[in-house]
Amino acid sequence: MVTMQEPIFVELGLWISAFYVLSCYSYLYRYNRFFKFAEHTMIGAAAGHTLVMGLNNIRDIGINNIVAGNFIYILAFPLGLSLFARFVPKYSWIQRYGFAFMIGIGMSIGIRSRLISRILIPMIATINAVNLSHPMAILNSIIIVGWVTTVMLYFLFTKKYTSESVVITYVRKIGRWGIMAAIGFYLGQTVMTRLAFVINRLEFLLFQWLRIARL
Amino acid sequence: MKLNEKGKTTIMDKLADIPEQYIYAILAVILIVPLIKPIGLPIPITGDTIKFFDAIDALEPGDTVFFAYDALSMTWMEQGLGTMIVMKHLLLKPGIRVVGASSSNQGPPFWEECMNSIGGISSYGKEYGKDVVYLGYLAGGETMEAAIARDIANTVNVDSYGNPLSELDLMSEVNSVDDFALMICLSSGWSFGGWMDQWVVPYGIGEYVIPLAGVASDIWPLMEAGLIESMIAGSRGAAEYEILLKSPGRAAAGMDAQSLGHIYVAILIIVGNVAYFATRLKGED
Repeated sequence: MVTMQEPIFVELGLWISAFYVLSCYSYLYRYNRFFKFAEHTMIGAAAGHTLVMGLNNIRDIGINNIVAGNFIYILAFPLGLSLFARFVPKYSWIQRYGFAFMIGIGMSIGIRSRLISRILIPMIATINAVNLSHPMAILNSIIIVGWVTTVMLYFLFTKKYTSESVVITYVRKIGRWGIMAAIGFYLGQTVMTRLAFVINRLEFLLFQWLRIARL
Repeated sequence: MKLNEKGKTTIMDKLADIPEQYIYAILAVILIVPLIKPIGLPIPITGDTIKFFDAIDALEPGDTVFFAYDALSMTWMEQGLGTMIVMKHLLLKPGIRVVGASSSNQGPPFWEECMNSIGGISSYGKEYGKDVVYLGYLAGGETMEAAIARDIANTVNVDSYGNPLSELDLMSEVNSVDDFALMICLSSGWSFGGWMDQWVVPYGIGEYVIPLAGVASDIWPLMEAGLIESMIAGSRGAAEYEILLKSPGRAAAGMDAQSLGHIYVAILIIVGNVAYFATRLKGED
């Protein structure tokens, strides 16, 4: 039986992959037909893949559960089908039931932990970060608590600050420096990610496709 | 290109007008040369990677790890390196079992890619169904994550290959978050946050994350707060893990290029700022 692991198919896969990598990077020179072709293929493939995976889920989680005797899953089908009502203007209001169910469940499941994990625990951790045991720890504590406070004040929009509000103006300025430092840090990390993408594709082109040996 | 009073261009003007194609071409050379002939720049190991490694290394035979496998094609190039070395470590350890599931629909092909790249499950003396099970893509986001935390068998009937879970030995022993020693999340973007909200906060399981380097700065505060145990930050973290496992691979080999690329980008930022401020000082802004 012929499988996709046959050398000829592996080689064909390498060449197709190399063609798409080079087509994508040809954009760096200028927008061109090869890039456009690669872009459209990617969108088409992603849409097809999403459709197939969605249908698999309907079969594996929906139909299989009903067949196994979990009849509660029947409820999901009319709610899911109601979402398609948006394509018929006269009956588009029906989609609200499906969305209402999804939003209600999503909100209730999300909110039970989110307040704890995104606000309460980080707030406690910030307070616990205060350490006055030695000079460097004191400096760290001032930086952490100071910048958390000033950044919070930067996003306080309930009052219009005039040029007379000298103290609050400086406090907000310090907060802004903190935000700029964080953005700089993000940029550095993002450069690492982007370079890793390029390096990975260069490794593929050099060592897998062209089979160049490392010196 | 702008001309000064004498009708000549200055160095700063020339710097500001370098065609971007030249910048990309130089970057390509800077990255390709160390890939072909590595320089061997040192790779210091960070505490985060050591903590991640130690947690996996401390697992006892019989422990089961849940692998939230939220792979995406656009981020696999960086996260794949960390994922493959962690998976290799898990499979190398005798008696450790792995159950994987994806909240991203691109997870299944990258699960196969990972397993093929590290030589397949059987090459580690392990067996699918007994030591490793992959549930595949499960739709529903956090709703699904909350459901399988409580009861996997009542949520999912078959694995990614269509095998009924009732026929898989491993799934007769694990069915909820309480049956796992820890969880690892290959996080596409912020997907680790959903698992944190549905698995860590309500049940207290330890979550270890394999994020993009660009997301690492979001995770450090959560580690300080004790919500995330540790992480392997991008390709750098993967390189460190490869060294800890004494199995240097693609991530470690790419670190020279990564470091030189960073130096190049830093120089470009400095040159760009100098040119910008010099132009402003001349009042041409």
